[in-house]
Amino acid sequence: MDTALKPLLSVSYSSKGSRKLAKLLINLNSRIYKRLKQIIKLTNVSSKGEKGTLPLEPFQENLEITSKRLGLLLSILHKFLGDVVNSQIQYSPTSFISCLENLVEKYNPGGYIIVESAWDFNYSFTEISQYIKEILVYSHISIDNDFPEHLVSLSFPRVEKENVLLHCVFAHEIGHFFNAVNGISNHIPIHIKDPEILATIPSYYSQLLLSIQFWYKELVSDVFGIHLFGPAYFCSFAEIGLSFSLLNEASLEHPPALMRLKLMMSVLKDLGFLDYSQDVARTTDSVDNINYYKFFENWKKFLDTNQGIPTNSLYCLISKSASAVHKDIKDKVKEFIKDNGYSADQFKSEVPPLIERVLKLIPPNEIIFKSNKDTKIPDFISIVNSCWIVYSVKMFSLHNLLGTKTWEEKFQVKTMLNNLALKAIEYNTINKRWENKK
Amino acid sequence: MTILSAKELRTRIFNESLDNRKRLYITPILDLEKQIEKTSASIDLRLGTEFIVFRRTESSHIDSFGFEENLEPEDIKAQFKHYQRKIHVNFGNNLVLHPHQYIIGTTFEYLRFPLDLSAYVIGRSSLGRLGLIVAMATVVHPGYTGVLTLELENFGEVPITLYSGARICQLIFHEVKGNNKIQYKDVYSENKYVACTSPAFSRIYEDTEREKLRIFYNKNESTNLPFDQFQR
Repeated sequence: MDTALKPLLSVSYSSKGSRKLAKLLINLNSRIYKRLKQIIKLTNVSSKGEKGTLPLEPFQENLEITSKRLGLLLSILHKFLGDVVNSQIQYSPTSFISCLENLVEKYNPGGYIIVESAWDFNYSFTEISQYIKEILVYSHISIDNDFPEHLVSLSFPRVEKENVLLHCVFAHEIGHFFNAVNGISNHIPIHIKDPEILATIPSYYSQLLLSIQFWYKELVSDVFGIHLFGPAYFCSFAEIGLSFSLLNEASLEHPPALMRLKLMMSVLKDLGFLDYSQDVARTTDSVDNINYYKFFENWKKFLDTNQGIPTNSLYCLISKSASAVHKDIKDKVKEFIKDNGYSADQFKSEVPPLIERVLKLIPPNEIIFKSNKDTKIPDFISIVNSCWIVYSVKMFSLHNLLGTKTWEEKFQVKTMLNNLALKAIEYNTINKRWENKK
Repeated sequence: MTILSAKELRTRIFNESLDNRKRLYITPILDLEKQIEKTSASIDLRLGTEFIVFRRTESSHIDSFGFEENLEPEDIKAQFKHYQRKIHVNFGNNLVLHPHQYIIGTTFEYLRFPLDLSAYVIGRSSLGRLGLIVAMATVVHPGYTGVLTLELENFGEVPITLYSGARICQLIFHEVKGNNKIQYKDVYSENKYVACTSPAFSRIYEDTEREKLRIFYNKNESTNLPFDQFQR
């Protein structure tokens, strides 16, 4: 089996985390194999009636339980092997993932991500290292010194591999990562009216507490999303969130999109993304006059006209507690991010010239200054924001330039926009590394 | 025919005040001094990161217009994709091109041509000496926007290792007269390949003459009529 897994090390992956996990799984596999061999040997010995002649190791005391745990560990190993295989470069938008890795590195040095492309239409987050660690302890297998402290798996829908605009939802998943590492949502107070009365119905009460914590985690991750990606996260969430659920639809794990969008909107406002007098999307192109701020004003009006209090009594209680702590959530995230997030100033200075490039069908990967022949490599977040703004308020210009009329042709223009964004991110990454070598 | 000098090329790339119709966009230029040498009259371009390779064992041949099986454009498109596949080679990494192997690649740089310039793509002589032939469709028309497709074939006797990111070809620009009324819109509406960011599969099935040629096609007729018989 060892040799069967070795080829995993000669494959190209989209992130460093995948190789790290592949090594970890190969190592784990050989140790499970070794332990199983010991168990088989011991079982044979005991059947001959020689048990008890040697001092027992902890794992020998209950061979049945240990072997069951090893079986569980093997099934988990297979699951994670699947994650590794699905994170190969041919299934992933490699340059985008490399930028995500840098982002994680910036806030959580030593943290690893693996980005798996899955067939289900979902973006998700799974903590790997803590999970494996716990089972190793229970299976009496020692943990190596180089075992990664924080290794998480993020997944995205494979059918949307090249939809970079949609991948801005990863900002939320990275938010989950930061929250898991730093326990931010655990420090947010829980507000329940008459908790003593509710405590008399234990199952209801424990579900209530659990759901409140789930909702807090989601909201914390949303606030992280805005700090990390700015308006691009808002737009991508609105696109994916409202495609699959109603504005007011909640679950035990997720707050309604309405609550989330309202919170995001207020964070955008706090951070200064919505208070410019000059339109960030104003270009020399006179074809259309749709205003970036008008776009967000319309969104705000739309969200304000929907009150959306969940009718389910349990959701009502969760909702009240979650609504009461918006400020705490924003403060806690701000405390963690400090001034290192994606700023409105950067957005204001870098995004407009990049929009100009996109409208000429040129990848928005650099800004050329008029005064000298110098070029500036923008932040990759500015690249995705410029493409989101074009998609939100400037698509008419592109349709006009390309003479697109049918829905099919218009869809192709969206694909073209995604390709330009992906190319710009690839150039951005390579350009930065090239400059550093100089 | 006027060929543009390095100085003129640099002006076309960096002068922000130039009219949109005359501005040349090439991005990214990682090493300006190497890629547009001051005394030259060309721009060196690098090899990109994506390639189309052919799966020889998957099909007997490519029927470019699909007349033999009476295929619709969508079916021909699917057939082309079945016969070819895209591969990614990280920047700085390599792939091996075996003798007489043919692959499609692109330039690393993305270009938008002005409406008054056209260019020829020529392989670098250093690579030509190893047996590599670059770009058979060598003319780039005014207004072209996207990465340039490179058709790469090893005509030599030994395998050649190609590195993504290495300089692979050069562009020689010359002016085009009488294009004053043409807009980018016109160029894009006439072109099959607009804003390509990776090598594109052939779209020959979109040729308008395909439908006309279909009228002449007869499956049962021998296509190898002896020339003398044909003359009679």
